Amino acid sequence: MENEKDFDKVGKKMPYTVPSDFFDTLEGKVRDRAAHEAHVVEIAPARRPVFNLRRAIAAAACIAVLIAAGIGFYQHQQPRRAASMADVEMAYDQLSEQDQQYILDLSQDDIFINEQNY
Amino acid sequence: MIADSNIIEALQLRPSTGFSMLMKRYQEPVYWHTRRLLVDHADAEDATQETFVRIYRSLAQIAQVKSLKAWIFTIATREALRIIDGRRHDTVSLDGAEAFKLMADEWVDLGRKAEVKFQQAILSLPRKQQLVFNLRYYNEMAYSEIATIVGTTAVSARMNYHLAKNKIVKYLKTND
Repeated sequence: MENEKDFDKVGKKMPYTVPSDFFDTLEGKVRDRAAHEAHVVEIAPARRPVFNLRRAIAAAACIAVLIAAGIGFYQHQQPRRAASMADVEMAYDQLSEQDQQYILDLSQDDIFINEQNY
Repeated sequence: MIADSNIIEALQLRPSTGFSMLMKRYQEPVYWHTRRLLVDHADAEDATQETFVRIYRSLAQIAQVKSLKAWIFTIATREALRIIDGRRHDTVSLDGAEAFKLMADEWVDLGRKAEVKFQQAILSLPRKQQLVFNLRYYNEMAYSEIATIVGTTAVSARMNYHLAKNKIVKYLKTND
């Protein structure tokens, strides 16, 4: 494939270099930096959090409603997502670059498909 | 290669030893990930050090982390983007070649022309596509892991990668 030839020419090589002992000394520098930043943080006064029970209950109720709506929507969508990924990829590859970008732009802001799993 | 499960176990039983194991396993992948985004060695060093300092300070939460690799790379990505956003030069509005020239320092071998051009092509991509491309091409990560790090879906990550590849090929052809 034409695309693969262009990538094969370079592979994973990069034009970047590092000082010879860089990785040997990195852990020591990190530990020193962590110790120094911990000392700086200790000097700053701690703030006491103010807990508002009414707001906490309202927030929990909103979150519960959103989760229930999300679960219901996800379960409704699930059978459709089981369709072949290969079919989707094939259809996507047939689109022009502009159309591909348009679809990407649409999906970036879609609150139902943009989930974060940490 | 040290397994993530062994690192997490060591971090819980002997934090200092576990942290050394974590650094041994991840310092180079993290450094090169930030270097590809930042180009400049000093900036990449700063981002890498800050990444591991943040991890060091968060070791108590390690048991709650679902994927150690995704967690580490998420922090590293944020640190690199923090530096990019704080730069005096607005490299976002420049093309890949101009941005590269601005950021290149003594630790870039400009004589390796094909490799320089390839990095310029990657830097010409929108930010999210750069991230997705680098994590897939260089780190060979699964789309689900990339999605976690970049803050998108696995489907979007896959589409972004294919789009990025096509754009890179086009850049290489039109900038001969």
